[in-house]
Amino acid sequence: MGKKEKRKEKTKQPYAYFGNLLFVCREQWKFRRSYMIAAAATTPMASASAVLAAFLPKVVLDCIERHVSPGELLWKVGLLSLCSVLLAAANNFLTAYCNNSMQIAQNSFWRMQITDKIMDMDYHVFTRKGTRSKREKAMNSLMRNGAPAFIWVNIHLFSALFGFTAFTAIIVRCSFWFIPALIAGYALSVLGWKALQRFRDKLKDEEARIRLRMDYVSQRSKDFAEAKDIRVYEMQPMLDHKAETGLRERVSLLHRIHTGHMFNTLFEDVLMLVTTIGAYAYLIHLKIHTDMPLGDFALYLGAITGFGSWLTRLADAFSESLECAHAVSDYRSFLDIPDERGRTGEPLPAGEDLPCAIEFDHVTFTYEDAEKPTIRDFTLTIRPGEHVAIVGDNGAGKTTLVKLLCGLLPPDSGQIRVAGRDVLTYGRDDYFTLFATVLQSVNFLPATVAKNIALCPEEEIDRDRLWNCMRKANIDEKIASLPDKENTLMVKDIHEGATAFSGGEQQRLLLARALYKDAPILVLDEPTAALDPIAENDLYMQYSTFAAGKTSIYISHRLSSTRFCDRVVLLADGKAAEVGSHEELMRAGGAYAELFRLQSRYYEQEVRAQ
Amino acid sequence: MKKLRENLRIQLRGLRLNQEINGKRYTPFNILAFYLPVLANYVTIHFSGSVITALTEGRSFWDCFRYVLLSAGLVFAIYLVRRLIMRATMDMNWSSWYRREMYMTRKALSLDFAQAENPEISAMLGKAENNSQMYNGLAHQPILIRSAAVNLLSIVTAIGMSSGMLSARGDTTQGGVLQWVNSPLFAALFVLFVLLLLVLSVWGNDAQSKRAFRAHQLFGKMHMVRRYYERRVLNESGSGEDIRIFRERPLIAQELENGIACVSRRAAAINLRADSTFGMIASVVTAIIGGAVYLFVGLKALSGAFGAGKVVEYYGVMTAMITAFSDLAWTLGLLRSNRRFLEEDMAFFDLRGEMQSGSRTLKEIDPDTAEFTFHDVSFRYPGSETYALRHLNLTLRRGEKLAVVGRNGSGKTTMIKLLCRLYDPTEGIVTVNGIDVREFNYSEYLRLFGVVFQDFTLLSFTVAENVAAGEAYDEEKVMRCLDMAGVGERVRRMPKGVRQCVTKLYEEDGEDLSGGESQKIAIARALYKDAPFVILDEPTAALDPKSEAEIYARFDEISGGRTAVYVSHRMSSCRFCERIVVFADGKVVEDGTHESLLAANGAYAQLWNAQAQYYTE
Repeated sequence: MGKKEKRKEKTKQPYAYFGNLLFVCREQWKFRRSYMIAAAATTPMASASAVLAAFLPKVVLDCIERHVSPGELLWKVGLLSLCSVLLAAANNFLTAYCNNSMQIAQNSFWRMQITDKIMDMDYHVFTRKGTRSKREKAMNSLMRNGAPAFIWVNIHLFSALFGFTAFTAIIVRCSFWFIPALIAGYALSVLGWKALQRFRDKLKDEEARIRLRMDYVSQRSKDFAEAKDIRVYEMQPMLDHKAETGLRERVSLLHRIHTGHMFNTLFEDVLMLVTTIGAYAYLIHLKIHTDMPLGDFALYLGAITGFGSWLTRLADAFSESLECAHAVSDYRSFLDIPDERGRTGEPLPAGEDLPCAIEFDHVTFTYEDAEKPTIRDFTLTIRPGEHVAIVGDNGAGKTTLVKLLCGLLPPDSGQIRVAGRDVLTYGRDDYFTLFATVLQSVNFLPATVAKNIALCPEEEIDRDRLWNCMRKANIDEKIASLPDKENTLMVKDIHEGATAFSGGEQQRLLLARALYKDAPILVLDEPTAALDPIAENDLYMQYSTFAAGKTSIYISHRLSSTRFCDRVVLLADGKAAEVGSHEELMRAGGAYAELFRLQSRYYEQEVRAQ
Repeated sequence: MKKLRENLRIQLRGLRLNQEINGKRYTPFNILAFYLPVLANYVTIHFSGSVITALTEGRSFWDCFRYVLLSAGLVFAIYLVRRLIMRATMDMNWSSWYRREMYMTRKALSLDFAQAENPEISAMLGKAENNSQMYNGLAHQPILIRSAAVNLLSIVTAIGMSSGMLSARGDTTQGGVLQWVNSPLFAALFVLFVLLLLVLSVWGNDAQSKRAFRAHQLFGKMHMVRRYYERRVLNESGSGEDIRIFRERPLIAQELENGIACVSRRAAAINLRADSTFGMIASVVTAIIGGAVYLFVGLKALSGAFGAGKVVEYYGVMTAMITAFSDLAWTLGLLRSNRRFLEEDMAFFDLRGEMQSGSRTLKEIDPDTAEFTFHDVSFRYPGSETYALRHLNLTLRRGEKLAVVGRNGSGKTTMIKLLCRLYDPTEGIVTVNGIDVREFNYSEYLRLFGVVFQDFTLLSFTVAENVAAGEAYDEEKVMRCLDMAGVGERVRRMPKGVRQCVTKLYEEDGEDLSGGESQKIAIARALYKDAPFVILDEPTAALDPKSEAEIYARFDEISGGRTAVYVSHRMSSCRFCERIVVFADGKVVEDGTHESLLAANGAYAQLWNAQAQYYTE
């Protein structure tokens, strides 16, 4: 407990703003240097073109007021226009270049680091509750105004600062008092928005809940997995009504916000008008009573009415930069999640140590938040090359046991030894090479069948071995019948021309995948649930060939599967309640015998159903 | 021309659909709400010119200042109206996603199952969904239409306000350049020059928006791949175990590189090229026109055609007009590109349910004596070339308990789907008491069946809503059915009883259920319906031996006096059924009792022995 708290404290420590800036600069420097130079170069451009735009009317009006020669007007306006054309061109190009770099960086460099971390971090750390929210935050940190935009946002901040300074300098020439007055007015409107934001934040959870519910209803109505039940049971009116309720809830939520919203926008409008009226009054007064040139009148007027936009930009850039810094912290705190398992370790068993022996020695494991351990003081020795069946109720801990064995989860106490060595002493990733598994829930990759079986890049696929394994798994005929054979794409959501496989075919593909890996330990978790009796029997018959020379574990609700295994383990309450061969356990007449009788009752010739 | 008319037709159709989704007021109100600030800007420009004119004429403070007050008053009034309109349309603006989702939900629900399961139609739905998420097609159209209309109005306003600019003449007696400035030729040349530049800008904007659209399409594709990986592969419920055990990291990294990074590089390169050429043209042209306008009005003013006030006014108006022009060009380009998405959306929204519904009611037959017969029925799934059922002949007799067995893909589940009219036969007919089932009212016909499908689903609403399949329910009856299905105790233990939601997806305090418990609730749902036919399709595949035995033991109770059909790979289930039919290659190959079929030593015996050998000594 103490250890956990300490870890929490350490990751809670926020990353400092400048630390984040340095981090992002370093990362970005690795990815594309020219981007940073281009971004820096754009800093003064926005303010420079704004200043030019403010001076242009002054120059024109001055010329007219002084009745200059057409030539003078021509060169003055021409020069200023040329400058603004050049500025516009340069700014346009550099901004386009920076946007391009950001887009690429966001989708390759930044995203890849997160996905790589997801795939690389310890499985038990990955599935921990706290990691989930960190992962989601890290993913979100790449969205708009996220970590990849941090440099750009800082450039914005500086650029707004430049503009603010330049316009202040212009206005101060006319009257200093406009500056505090403008800032005070702006601050008032910001306060209004802040108050509204606070109010909205309070409603945020409700807003998110309504959205999630709406999303649920519409997804379920559209998904064809639910389509049968919805139609046969005529649930359309219910779903329709729920969707309508979602919209109604949304609208009534909006009504709570909109008065505040309207008040704020109106206040802003009034503020703008007051500013304009004030500026005019002062400048008209000045123009009439002093010899201020007409050009200055236009210049000051433009500067005063335009000053607000710089304030807005400055404030926006400031809050954006804070938001970004936050996103960078989210990003870093995910990447900085420490490993708990060692990457390197003892050499893997080879030669005489194969097939491996497996020993569970008083293993206990409790899931986070679980009240009681899922695996409790579990002890079992599996001999080299032995085939073991594990049976037990739904939720007895069979899958957890497999995860413990495969090194995905570390036991809370006790030891698991493979080939005589504690599993934790092997290098984490090396250790995985010992296993070939068929687990229950698998999502195929949106790639070819060949890649989904071999699970390696295209050029490394051994085609002969691939077809050999597909034959063993009894899926070769199906694949050969497809126009693209093993290069057929999977996952219809992504590839329009992809083939959809039935549940039974998917199980066969998974089996082929496990066979392709050809590892010393074979683990099959319910591989026949979707197969018909004859296909199931075929698998049983071939099992000894698949598993020959390997240590294997077979999990199933079909107790018939225990017949081709050397020993059966009945898992109950996280313990090996009964261990022995099928015959031994039947003779012992315990829980296993009871379970077997329950299932076999209907198969026996003389027994009738109740 | 024909292309233009076609494009217009599609845009109008989209507009009508959007009207259905968002209401009739939405588009005109929105255009008005966004035109008003543009108008206010023109008012400000006009009166700032007036103030300067008054100043140059040396008028008094109040003479000048009243223009300011007038302008401020007008602008305030305009903004007030705008806020009121915004308030009236806020519901629509801020809940457009909800409206679209509701509309789409309604559409999807109105489709037949055959359509819902059809891969082509689900691809259509997928496209429409993606468009809604990415703000394409119908979702984008109102914004584009609004922007086009507002910019058009802005241009018209600007032309109206600047009409005096070209015709105004100064002192024609001056010599040199200034005289030439006042000639109509100069004005004509200026107009030509600006028009040329505007054409260039329009062309640049259009070309850029076309490329932006291409990039947008690529990004859309990329996001689809990204979403799939993030939701299905790379999160906690994805394949974290497999990724590690099978060391998929290099492969997935490579796939992501190809599916996301490369695509994004390509899209970004298109954007960069477009922005740095066409975008550049547009922005440079804007700056050049700005200078040209100043020169023109400046020279005119020098010649005495108008005063400094008009210079300020004309410049302001012209700048606003140029911006409106380039925005309009940009918008029109997008409107044209958006057509593709609109067509995708409409392909989905134009779908209509095709299931034939007749006029006969169930009263014509006594449901209690209903007998179903498949007459030489063949069936092919849409888009498939092979038959799932071939010349099937089968009669389901009233009150019997029937087991249906056979290999994967032999047509068992398809037969059930045809029976429940989720599909209609490709050839042959299904009759009930001799009448073609298509002659009955469809939804009335469906009430004959209580089905628990192999891949049944519960919705995350309350237990009672699930059992009653609706929001109105008889609580006592719900409880009775739950008890009969063997899950009544479990539901009573829940904090809110039958009002507890199933899973946490809809309500946060929902209760997660095990596979067996869910299955029992699905059975209760079939019972609640009081249907004369109960069909259980592979209900025990995921259950442990205890739960399986429990379901078997309750089978008689569940089916009561009804006709019951039980489909399963667990051959043990045949023992409590009176009649067994064996499917192979889409037809019935054997029909009889357990004993007679075993004695016949055919397909049934083969299936039976494959499993039973392990259980009998």
